[in-house]
Amino acid sequence: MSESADRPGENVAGEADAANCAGKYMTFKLTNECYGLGILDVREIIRLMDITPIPRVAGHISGVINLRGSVIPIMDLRVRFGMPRTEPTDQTVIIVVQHRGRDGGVTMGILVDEVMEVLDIAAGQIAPPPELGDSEAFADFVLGVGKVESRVVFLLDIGKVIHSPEVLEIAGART
Amino acid sequence: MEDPALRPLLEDIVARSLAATADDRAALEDIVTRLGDLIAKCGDEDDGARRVFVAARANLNDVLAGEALDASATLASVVRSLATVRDAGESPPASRDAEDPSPGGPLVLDEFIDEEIFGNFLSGATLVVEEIESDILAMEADDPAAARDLRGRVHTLKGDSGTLGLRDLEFVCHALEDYLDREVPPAARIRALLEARDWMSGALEAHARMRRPEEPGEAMAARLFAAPAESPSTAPVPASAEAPATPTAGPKAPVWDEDTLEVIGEFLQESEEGLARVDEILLSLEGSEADPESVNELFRVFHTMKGVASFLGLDEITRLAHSTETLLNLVRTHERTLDGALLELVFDATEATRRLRAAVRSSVETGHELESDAALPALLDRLERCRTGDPEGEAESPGSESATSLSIEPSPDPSPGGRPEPTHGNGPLSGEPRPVPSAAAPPKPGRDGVRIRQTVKVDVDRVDQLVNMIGELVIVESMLVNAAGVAEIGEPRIRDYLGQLKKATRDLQDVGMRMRMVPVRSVFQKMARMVRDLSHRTGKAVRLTTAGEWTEMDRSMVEQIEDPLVHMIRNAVDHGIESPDRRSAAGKPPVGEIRLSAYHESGNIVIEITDDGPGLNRNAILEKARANGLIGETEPVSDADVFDLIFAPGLSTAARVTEVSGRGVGMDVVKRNIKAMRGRVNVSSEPGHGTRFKIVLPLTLAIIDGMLVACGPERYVVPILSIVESIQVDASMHRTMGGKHDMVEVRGELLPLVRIDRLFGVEGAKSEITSGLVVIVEGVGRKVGLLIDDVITQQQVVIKNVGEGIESTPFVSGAAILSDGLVGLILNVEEICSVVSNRTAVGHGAVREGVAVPEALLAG
Repeated sequence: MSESADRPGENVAGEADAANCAGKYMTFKLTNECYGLGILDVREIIRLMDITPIPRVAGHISGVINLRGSVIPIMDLRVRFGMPRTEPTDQTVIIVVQHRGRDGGVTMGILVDEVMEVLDIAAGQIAPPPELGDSEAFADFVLGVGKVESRVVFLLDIGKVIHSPEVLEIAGART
Repeated sequence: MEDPALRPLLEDIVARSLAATADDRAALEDIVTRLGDLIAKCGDEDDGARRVFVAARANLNDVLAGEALDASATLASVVRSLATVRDAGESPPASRDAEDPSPGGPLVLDEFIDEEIFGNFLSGATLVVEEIESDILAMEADDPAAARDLRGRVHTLKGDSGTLGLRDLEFVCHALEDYLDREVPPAARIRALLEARDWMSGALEAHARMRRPEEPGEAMAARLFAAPAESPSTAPVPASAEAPATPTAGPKAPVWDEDTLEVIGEFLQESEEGLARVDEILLSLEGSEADPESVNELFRVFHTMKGVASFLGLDEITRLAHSTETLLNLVRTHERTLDGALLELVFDATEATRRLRAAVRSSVETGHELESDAALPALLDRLERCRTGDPEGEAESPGSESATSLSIEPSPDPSPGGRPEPTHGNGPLSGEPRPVPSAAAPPKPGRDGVRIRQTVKVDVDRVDQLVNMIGELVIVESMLVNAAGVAEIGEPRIRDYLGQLKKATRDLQDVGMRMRMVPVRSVFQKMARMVRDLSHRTGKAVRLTTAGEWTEMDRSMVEQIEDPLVHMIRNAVDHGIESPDRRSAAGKPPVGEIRLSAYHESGNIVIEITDDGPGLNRNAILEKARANGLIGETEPVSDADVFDLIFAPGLSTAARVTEVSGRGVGMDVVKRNIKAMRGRVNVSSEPGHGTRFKIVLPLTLAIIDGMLVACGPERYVVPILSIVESIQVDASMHRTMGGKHDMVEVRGELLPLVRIDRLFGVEGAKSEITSGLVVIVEGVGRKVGLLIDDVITQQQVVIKNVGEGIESTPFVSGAAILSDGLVGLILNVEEICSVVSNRTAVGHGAVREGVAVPEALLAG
């Protein structure tokens, strides 16, 4: 098995190929929806800790934290997906992801409402992302839709979630 | 050499020349005669081999006539070129290269060359090529030692590339050596040498990518000799330390400059490591079969030693290493086995090399002349006999030999009351008595002894790792010292320990930082070369003088500073210096001067570029800036403001700049690069007298002194270096401009005030100016007041990236982990100052460096 096939969430060709998406996913909740991140991109899950806000950056960047000596940015996935911000609860956690992109690796914390279990999703259980029309940038983040038992899991393309056009746009305007 | 019948002849000649020493006239004459024979038998066919023979004969004749610059080196090069032909077998070098005429094709290395050797060679060779460049430039400046140094370096490079089978490089080095013997007009010579140098560095780059150079070595060599005025060598010997009248290998006066001493230090260190390794291998080999890898390693140690020693002019070590290497090569090619007498011989050679090393060290440290080692000829003789398979030589009892070596160690001291002259057991092969060292003239008054610096080579990654860990330690230390419970401990003993911990941490940090420091010299050298080229291309006479090139700065910064310097110096030559005519008309010397200097100033590194050109044209810049809308039509502006505009991107397209008066191509990039290094650049200029750029850089990229300030619930770090003072403002100092811009008047000076809470959208900060604190900071040559709530403490912080996932963080230059483990942001004072002063100087909506002026500032 080649490495890319080993890495769900890594969508090199840019099109969702259900066979490529098959694998283990860390699933978590945002509001009452269920999402999945390729397990190989997840480094660890940490408790919510004090976040130092960074002024004048995109709204979905909550700030930075000290992860054992490294400074890593935290993204509020709710804000990223255009959902309302909420107060953190006991269940709120940070999923630390390490994504290896074309220009080196990025480590980032993703703020989510609640982590669930790790699911092994077979190719046959994955459908292509839904067509939502061009206004929904959200669809871009989704590699495919997994259906496990009666649950629906949106499998995320972590590369796109991190290197979003929105962030680039803002950066472009500033440089 | 088509005729196989010639091979034995060649073998014989190679063997003889290997045995010969540069002062052995009889042997050399014999070789010349034999070479003549060989050439005659080659017939008229002008193949590569014949050319090599002819060249070899010419070189040997030079040696005999006492005209060779360095007889031993010449002899060694002859031996090598002959051996190359021999090793090439049926196909001499020229046709061998023709077999694989694919310039830019893949580079195929011999099997015994592993990646590490090749990597070492490449990095070493790259340095050598840099040195070659500075030699060439020194030759242009009539430095008599430069030609000799150059030859030595080229020679070493030739040897190394030959060993590794890099034929192109070897060929060019060889051609260069020949070329150096020719009489060529100085200007043409320098040009040709520089071309060859450029080719070399291109070739090395190609090799690093495992390709052959685009232009084959032959083509480069041909270009070299295509230059006019060839008259075969009557080698004009530049004033050299060696008198031709005494072609004997008398003790050479050690005239070593600082650079060379450094190389010697490295050599002594490395050779010691190498010899220790040799011992280790030899011991492991005793009583067992020699495996090829060990033999290769032995070979490499001696080979490397030979290369460096020959470059340093340490003849004896060179000769010994050469003989040993040759012998080991026979083992490598399975003509001999490494056992018994041969093993013993290599042991002896190692011992003798140690002795020679020790002699070099003491010579350098005491300033006495370097003495010849009396036992050496005997050892060389044994090595040679062993190589030729002379039974007598092999039968030689090693016992008597080592006894001899012992009796003469350490090398005799020629000073009055010195030890009795040693006797040596075996006469040299030639039968001619070799000059004994103490028979030479009494030593010249010795220089003062110099301590040779010892060094250890360490992987850069490891150093970086160490520095990072020190950074962590600094944080933990400050966390500990400031921890709530600890700060309250009154127990003197514990306070004392904490104090010691603090001191040790600081010292460690200091040492760690210094480990990464390297001199800026390498960059300066590149600039010297560039100025020279530019000066030729533009037809302006420009001279670059440098100062403080040994000033050290962080390794990574030395790399980063290169680009900005290239831009600025190119600008200085292109636009800063006038043509010779105009200079003369202005009453200046025709040769323009650019001065590049580096020095330390209050904990910073300063690099200055000064030219003596016409200076910046204030009015033209101002006009342009007004035309571009960077500055309002009637606004009065200071000189500093105007000159600073040359860094603005709006003024940086070439066409405009040439109109304006020059300066500015890529200056915005320059500024950006320097800012990225947390440095700043100031420009000052005096009409008619020139322009000065002053680049101020922090000592290191990793750690800064910061002042931790509070603003509402947030904390920020302000770099101490940019802080002028902190003041409590009372109502009488507060002014507003246009009803909304806050200003603060400090001792008559009106400074713009930035409310950090508004800039950063922080809630809960003190809004009254009089209740907070104003920190006056200076950046881009301007002062600005920052309104904050309070100063918390002052501490060193390790700068971290804010995070790769965030593309841009305005007004924040980095993050730091504070003593409570949380992250604090480091303010980018330069950016704040430049935006604020832009607002006040230029007016609303002005955009500078692409940063939109935030509302908070405009509506301050």
